[in-house]
Amino acid sequence: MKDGDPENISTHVGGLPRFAVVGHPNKGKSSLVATLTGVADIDIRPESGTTRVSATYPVVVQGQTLYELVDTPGFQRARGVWAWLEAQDVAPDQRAAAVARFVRAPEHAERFPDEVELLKPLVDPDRPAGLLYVVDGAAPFGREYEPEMEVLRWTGRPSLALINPIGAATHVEAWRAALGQYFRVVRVLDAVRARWDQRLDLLRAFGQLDEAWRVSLDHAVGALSDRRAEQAESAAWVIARAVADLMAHTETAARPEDASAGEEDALRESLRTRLAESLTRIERQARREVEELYGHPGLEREERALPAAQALSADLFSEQTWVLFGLSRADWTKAGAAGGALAGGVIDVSLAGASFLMGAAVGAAAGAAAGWWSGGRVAALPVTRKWLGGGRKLVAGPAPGPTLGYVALSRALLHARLVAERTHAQRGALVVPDSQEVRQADAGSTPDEGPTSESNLSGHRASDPARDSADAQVRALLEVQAPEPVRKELGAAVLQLRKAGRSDDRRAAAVRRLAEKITPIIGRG
Amino acid sequence: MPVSTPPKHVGPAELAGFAFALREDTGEDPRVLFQRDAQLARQLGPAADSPAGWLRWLDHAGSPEAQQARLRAASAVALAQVVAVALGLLVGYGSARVVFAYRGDDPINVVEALLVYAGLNALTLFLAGLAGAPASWRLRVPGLAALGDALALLSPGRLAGAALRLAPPDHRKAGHALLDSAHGHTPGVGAGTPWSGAVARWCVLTWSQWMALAFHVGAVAGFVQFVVFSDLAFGWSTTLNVTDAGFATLIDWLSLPWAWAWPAAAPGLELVAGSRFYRGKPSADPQSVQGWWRFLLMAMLVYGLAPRAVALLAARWRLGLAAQEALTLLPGYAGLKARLRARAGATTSDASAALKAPKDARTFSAVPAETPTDTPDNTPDNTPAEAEASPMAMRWFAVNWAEAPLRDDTLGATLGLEVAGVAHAGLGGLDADAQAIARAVQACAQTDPPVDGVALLVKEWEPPTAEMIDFLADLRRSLGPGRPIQVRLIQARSAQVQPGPGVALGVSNPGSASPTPADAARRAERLADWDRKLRALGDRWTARFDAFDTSGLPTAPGATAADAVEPTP
Repeated sequence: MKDGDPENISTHVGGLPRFAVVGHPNKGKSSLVATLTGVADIDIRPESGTTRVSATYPVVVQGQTLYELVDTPGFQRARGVWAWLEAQDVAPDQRAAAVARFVRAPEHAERFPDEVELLKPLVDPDRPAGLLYVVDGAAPFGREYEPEMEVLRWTGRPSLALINPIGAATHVEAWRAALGQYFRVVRVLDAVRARWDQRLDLLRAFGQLDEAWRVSLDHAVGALSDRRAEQAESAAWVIARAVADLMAHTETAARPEDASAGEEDALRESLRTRLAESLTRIERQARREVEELYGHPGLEREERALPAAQALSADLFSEQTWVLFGLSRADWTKAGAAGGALAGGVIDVSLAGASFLMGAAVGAAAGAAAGWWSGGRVAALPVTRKWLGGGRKLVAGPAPGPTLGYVALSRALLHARLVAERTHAQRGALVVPDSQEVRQADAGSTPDEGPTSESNLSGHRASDPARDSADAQVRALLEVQAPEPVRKELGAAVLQLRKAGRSDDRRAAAVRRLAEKITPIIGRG
Repeated sequence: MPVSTPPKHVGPAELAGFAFALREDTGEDPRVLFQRDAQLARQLGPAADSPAGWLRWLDHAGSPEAQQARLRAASAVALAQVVAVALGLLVGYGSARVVFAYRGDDPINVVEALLVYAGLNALTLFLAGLAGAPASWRLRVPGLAALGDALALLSPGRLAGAALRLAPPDHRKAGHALLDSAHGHTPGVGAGTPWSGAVARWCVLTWSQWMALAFHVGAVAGFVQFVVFSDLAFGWSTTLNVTDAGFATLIDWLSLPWAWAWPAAAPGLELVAGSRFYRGKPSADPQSVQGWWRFLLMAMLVYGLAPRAVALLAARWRLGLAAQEALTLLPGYAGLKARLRARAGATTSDASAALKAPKDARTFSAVPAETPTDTPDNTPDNTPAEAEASPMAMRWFAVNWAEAPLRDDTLGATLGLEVAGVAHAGLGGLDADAQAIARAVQACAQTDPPVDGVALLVKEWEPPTAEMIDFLADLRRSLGPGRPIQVRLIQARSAQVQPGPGVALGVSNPGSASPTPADAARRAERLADWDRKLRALGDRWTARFDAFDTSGLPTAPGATAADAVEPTP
């Protein structure tokens, strides 16, 4: 037989890895394809039989196709196909050819349109696909699945079974036992909420199907990891830039020379509003960019009634947001005292202790006072009169102190982590966990889950009654995102940004430093 | 590099165009942008993810206003360059008229000419280097950053920028967008990012280099004019204690770059010694006083013009880098890159065809069009059998499809139905289905006691397959019209969601046996799916009876719900 002959398909292996995702209807095939390819517009619907034709989705990184996934219709008449194949009475080495004949038979296109369509990539004479069989681990195994598994076994293609629990994974073991009789590799993966490392693991498992694909798939894993790292870096730069913009942004308005005090007050208020709007716009734009970076354009963010869930959608300047994300006045006071003590300590050292540590004491007191004072004015957006221009200009902003940067950074990090972990199979708005879900996730989480999913971002302290408040929950979210030392580094980077003032060089360096600190936090998943 | 390899060939004008276009995009729906950029990305193929691709995007996706912004910025930059060149030429020529002015008394002092066109040039070049040093260097040396900022402020290129104030309003605005955006007061390039300040700085420094280059061109031109059209006398003089030999050595060193090619332009000791003059005592040797012009010409070219040309190229290069860096940090740029990248590897044509397929093509081809379903459990056409007679008061022949979890001997009691018999279908060969239909028909043919209809028992958690729909159609054909067929969805006890570890938040309720809202939503979707498929049969006598939960219904005497539910395999 010649190469490319349909009868010769079982010997055809290698080349670009290609996998047909097959299975019963409504078991998450399209979701899996969306998750593994990152294609957002795959049609995923609750009704069965929505996929009627096979669709090939290449995974392309930097112009290079790494592998392809074929989304196929579900088995609708598997017993009919199986009956036809059994009736062929062929030797085991001719079974794949029998499946190919089934696909080619013109009458089957009408009688078994779904099966013909789903088997076609498996018996493609030029590029036969490996098969990825998807079942629902939340539903019991049934014998009605056997005909389709037999049909797939006849194709002789390298195969992997994936148990995708659409809900609670209560039947995984039963499925594992059943699938093990038909498939070489059996894995469990929630197609909709799979973490990034789980997705890569699955890709590596594809490589186990055939030696010839292993190199390509290892390369794919590397390339995808690189792209992931680049996405994290890009998102970090977007966030760092936005934080810098937020901290430096000003709005200016001309002040009429004959403006009365009342008119000036009104002008100041409108300028303040304009500044707030601009800052909100800058933040939203950054959110949007991060979403686009991860292939989620137009993602909606869902607002919930609970304060914790409002974290992503609440207005940046609402008092609640400041309380939830900003440093407390006590924090500021402590930070100011520490800084003042350090400065005073320098004087003590320079006087060889002759000051009896008075420098440190006075410095701490002064720093604490300054911190307390600045902590009380974090939410105020100042409007000043520009005297250099003859007092004819009013300038709103920049926001005083680094708190705005800290607030914006915290919010952006939370958002970026959620977006980065979101798969393309997930539909609907980006949801921030509410307090009840936080508690449930805390009770149900396992040690190996890691702080990467939407659920686990919510932290492990929610069950502590002392922290049972929205404020505590959001603080827990931030704590999970960035451990103590990292948070301090972030805080220092934001402070550096603030201190940079109008110096381009210093601002650039501070933004760079902030981006470098953010990148591993976002990329940790 | 900030984000990734930035596009090449991006200058301030392109930056302005990008800034405008991306700012316009902020008001658009991201999904619309995704579609728009997908088309271009598909046309460009892999090139979409390249510098050329970004620029093509600007050409294609940018609105006319964005193109105008780009053009105006380009014009503003060009205008400033013209001003810088004109100023440079004027000042350079003027300086030549001063430096090489000869009124017949003291000869032109070569030392002065060298000082102006080589020494001063070297000093300003050094200062320009300080102003343009990489930020990382400036930040390492205390005070250097401030000095660099001050030098950039004092750069003569600012004159060219200032000249934009006299330009037409559009160009003036474009110029200010480039130069004044560093502090974010105006919605200019980069909206106040630190990199937009770098662009402004390098614009100014580049114009400075243009001006300096033109200065030296003007000076050389003036010098050549004087040499050709007048009779100049050169000499050298200094108050410092410099010997002829010492000065000759300096001149030799200075002449090194061209002495090998043009020996006549490298004055020797004899010329140096013969052309020294003192105040009030001009050199006596007419030959020697004229011999310097070749040296001076070459010195102006090599130590004035050439370094400035190199500096200009370097400044342009750094301006390009700054523009590219600023571009990568423009709000919206990262999103644009992601869109074009995502689409560089878009789905193949068959996938596109699938996506574009009309929605009605997804329904089964052999059935009439669906009617909208309001809610899965409350559809008017859902219960025709109920409308005719209470199912509880009827006798039914049951067909258990694919081992729905009910035991034959207790299912009637469990379901609250009077069951005339049970057959099995949906497993094994298709013959089993035919046999089940035959038994159902046979049962319905009984008259004493009569069997009123067929109850098909199916697993609630499985979707209706075409195979099962085929079975229902065959059953109807065999039974004839009018005989009720009720589809009962049997929910196994073990199929109720039992939340556990590893289930993501919002999907289930860990630790609780009661279904979560997500479980309920999924179940409602499944029921709706069943209703759609059954309605698509077009048979008003076939309908889904209320979904049945074995754990919740009353049981007949002697049979409990638990007894009736078979253990799940």
